[in-house]
Amino acid sequence: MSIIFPVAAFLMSRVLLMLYAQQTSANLPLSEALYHADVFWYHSLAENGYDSEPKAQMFIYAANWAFFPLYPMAVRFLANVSDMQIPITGIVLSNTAFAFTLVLLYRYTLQLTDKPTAQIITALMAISPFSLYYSLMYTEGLYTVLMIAIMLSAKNNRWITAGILGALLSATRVLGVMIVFPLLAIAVNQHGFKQLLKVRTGTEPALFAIMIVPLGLFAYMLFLYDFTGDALAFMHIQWAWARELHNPLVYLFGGFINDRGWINYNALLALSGITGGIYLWRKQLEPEALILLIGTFIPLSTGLASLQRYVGTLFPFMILIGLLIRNRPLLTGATFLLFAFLFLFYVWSWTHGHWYMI
Amino acid sequence: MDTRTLVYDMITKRVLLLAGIVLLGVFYFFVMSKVFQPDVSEHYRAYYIDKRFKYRNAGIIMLVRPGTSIDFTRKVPQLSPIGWSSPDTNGTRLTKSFASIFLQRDTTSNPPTNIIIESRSSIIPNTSQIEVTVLMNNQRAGTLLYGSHIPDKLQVLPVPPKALGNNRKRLLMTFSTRNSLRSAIISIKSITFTAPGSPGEVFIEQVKRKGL
Repeated sequence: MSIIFPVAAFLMSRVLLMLYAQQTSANLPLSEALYHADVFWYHSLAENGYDSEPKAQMFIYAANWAFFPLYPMAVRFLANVSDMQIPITGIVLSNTAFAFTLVLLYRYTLQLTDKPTAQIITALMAISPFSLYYSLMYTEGLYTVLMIAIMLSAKNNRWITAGILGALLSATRVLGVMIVFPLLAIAVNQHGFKQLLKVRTGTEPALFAIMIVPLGLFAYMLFLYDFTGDALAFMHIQWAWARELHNPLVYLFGGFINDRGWINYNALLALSGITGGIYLWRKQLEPEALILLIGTFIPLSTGLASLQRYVGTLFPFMILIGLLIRNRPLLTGATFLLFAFLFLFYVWSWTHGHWYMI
Repeated sequence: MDTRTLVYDMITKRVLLLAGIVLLGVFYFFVMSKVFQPDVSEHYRAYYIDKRFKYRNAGIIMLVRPGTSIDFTRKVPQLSPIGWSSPDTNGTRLTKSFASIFLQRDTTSNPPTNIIIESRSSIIPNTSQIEVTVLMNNQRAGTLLYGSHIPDKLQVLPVPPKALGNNRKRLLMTFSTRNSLRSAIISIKSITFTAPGSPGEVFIEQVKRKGL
């Protein structure tokens, strides 16, 4: 049964998270203990919808247009149906998505590698410090489950499913639309580049899937144009957070010579994402490599803030670590110990509202 | 299922999928056309799209007329996001080879004819003179020269007639230099707009007499 291992990994890691979060936050209700940083934005979005104009909120002058609609809409819908409070609904939805993430990741890695390695990767994902974000009212849980489902569908030739899920992914986060590139890599592997280019018989489902992926993003852009007058409002509003596109390598280099530890840490993870992407590519895991490289480079081009979250929650990052430590029992044990320690540290930092966790 | 039905199904599927691709392409093209025609206020465009300002405040637009003085020892919301330091008692320092300030002219009064730029400089000895070119709406107003350690320096530049021709409202002032600013600290302390008869014009006469 390929479901028992991932479900067990999910239950053990989440029980640990919930118990420690409650204990370290002086027994606050979970919805309050885990209510920090961008949870505010998702909560307000699910409750009140999009802001009609920028206003002073959360220490800056901004609107919530940077946050894509699918996750808050799903939270709002479930809250209405279940009659639960919105922050609790958000946590339930994220954790449910994470349970499915582990099940799908296990199946996915079984297709890539042997069973022990698949188990290592799934367990790493469950106990990884970054897995904290899958349990918050953040998009990471939904985003990751959709991403793995898309990859699994495409690799198993279920292109229309992959395309529809891709459209949902592009309505979840701004980077979601970038799944077209890994999908293109899979399509090229299956059909060959020339066949795709000539739209030969049999390539249509793959091409249609790739073409339908941006639908979520473009539908949101059309909504923003109608609502704010600016189709790129989700991008332009980033200026309120002082985020602006620059050379990612300059940010990376600056991160290493910075005297603040958390910036060095973010830079180290960004470098791991880049080198890891190259490693996966050399291992002929091109689609996974593209997810890691794109998911590192694009956020890095706006600065180092939140890089540990962006890179650490990409599932190929766990595949990378799993491939590196397999067949090395000592290293595997040390990695799990380090992850367990960091996991608790992340939960402690989050419940204490440390801003380096955003 | 016979061969004919199979072929028919295959062709139908192919046509449907290709038609879907075309329809999606048309929709994306339509949305992209909206990207280039934002229907937003001037404030929104200036701050969020053009990123003309360093700081956000409720009343972004500063109307200038003869007599208007801008104090650079405080936060000036109209500064460009790049090219300026945070303000201190010496003013706001130029940090890049290009910096700008975005203003609007009060068209109900006469256009300004001169600007007085008060600045402070500190340049490492034996390095070349720093030249800062000032443009107003892409028209050259003049060059500010810095050659040594000068606590406070007043320089007067004419407003190019073409810069505010046709009763033009927008006023974009840019400061650019080809010299390296690594060996120099140049801070703008204030900018005052003047015209014949305005208080600033009297001040210019005083400046000329004192030879500052």
